[in-house]
Amino acid sequence: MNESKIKLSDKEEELLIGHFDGELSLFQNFLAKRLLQSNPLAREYFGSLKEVAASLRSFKADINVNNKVDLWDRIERRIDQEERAEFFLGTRDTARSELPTSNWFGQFVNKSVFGGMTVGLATAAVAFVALDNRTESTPNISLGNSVAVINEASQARFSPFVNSDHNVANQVEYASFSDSSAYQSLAQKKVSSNNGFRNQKDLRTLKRMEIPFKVDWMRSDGQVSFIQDPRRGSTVIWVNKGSQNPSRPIVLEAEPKLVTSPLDSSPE
Amino acid sequence: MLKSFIKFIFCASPLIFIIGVSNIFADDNSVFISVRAIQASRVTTNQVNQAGHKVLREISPEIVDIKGKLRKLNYNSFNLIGSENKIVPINTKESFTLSDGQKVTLRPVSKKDGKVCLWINWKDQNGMNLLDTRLHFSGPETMITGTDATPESGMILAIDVK
Repeated sequence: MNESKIKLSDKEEELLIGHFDGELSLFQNFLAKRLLQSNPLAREYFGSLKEVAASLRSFKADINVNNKVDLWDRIERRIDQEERAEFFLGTRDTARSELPTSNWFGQFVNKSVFGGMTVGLATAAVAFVALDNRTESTPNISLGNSVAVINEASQARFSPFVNSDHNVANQVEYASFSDSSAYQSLAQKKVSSNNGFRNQKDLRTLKRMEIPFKVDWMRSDGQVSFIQDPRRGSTVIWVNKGSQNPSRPIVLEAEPKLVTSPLDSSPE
Repeated sequence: MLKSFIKFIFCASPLIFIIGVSNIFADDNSVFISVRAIQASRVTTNQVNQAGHKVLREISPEIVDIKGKLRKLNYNSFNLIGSENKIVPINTKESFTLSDGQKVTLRPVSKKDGKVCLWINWKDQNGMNLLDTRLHFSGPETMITGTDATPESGMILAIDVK
């Protein structure tokens, strides 16, 4: 028996699929119809295509019916849970557990990965030191690149400009809030302290933050916080009226001359 | 015929030049500013959604576009209490007075290639300087700033600049 009678060739299958999808030319459609008329296997194959399409349609309809729930609400609750878990249990680490470690290849991969990570960290450290030296000579504040720049600026560069008093710089703080007050107290990070960046984890966290606008300068009679969600590239500027400090109204200042001159509170 | 055409071109060229130049700079002469005032508060709700879960936050439908940013704040109810849209020429002050007497004064300093420099001054009803800053917006981003009005409520401003 000829094999073509037992099984359709690839070309015939492609022809039938194209005919089913309506993608064929007039002549190819004619060939497909003739094949369907002459070959029972072709009719069977075409029937199976119809069945698959019908089952897919019903499956899709089923999904649409079952998915009429507030997905955003679910996502929001999941994010909250993850944030709480991160603070109480630490950062979720899944990548390491997925690496094979039992065999020789796994150990080799692990060594390669960790070797690469070590080199990457060393490169990042060198780059950070180089960038840090470079930004020290820059007079302007750029919040758009990294929040760490602000913090270092407020600590290392603003202090001599603004005043010898560190309280001015300390008014800038970064915080992350959520619903629970207990969580809030844990989550609130006063990064801009007199000690500066001692904690590399804080530094990394702040480097992930992105402020979508650049600030030339900023001043307030209250205490200003930048509230940042590390997962989102956005920042909220929050002013605490309760902790106002009229004698030290300047929070961020880029240009020393503006500090020493009387400040006009209204836009010019 | 040719002589009159040349004469026409000669006379019209300054006008064409002025119109062309003004068209080039017309877009950079003014800034669209939208200010939305939002009252935030901490309230306990017993509402449940379609899935039967308790609603964590109440947010006015007019401010759902900044829902992701508002969720970072320690409030669970956000209501739009006022909004105003204005087209403000560069270097012109425009004041927005909020319902409780607070005053927001904005002045677009410059606009170039879609980047806007904006001076923002926000004073509360007692004249306290809540925020006085100059920012550079590099794209269509909503700036959120806020302050605590009472221990259980706050006032939030969402400022859009185009």
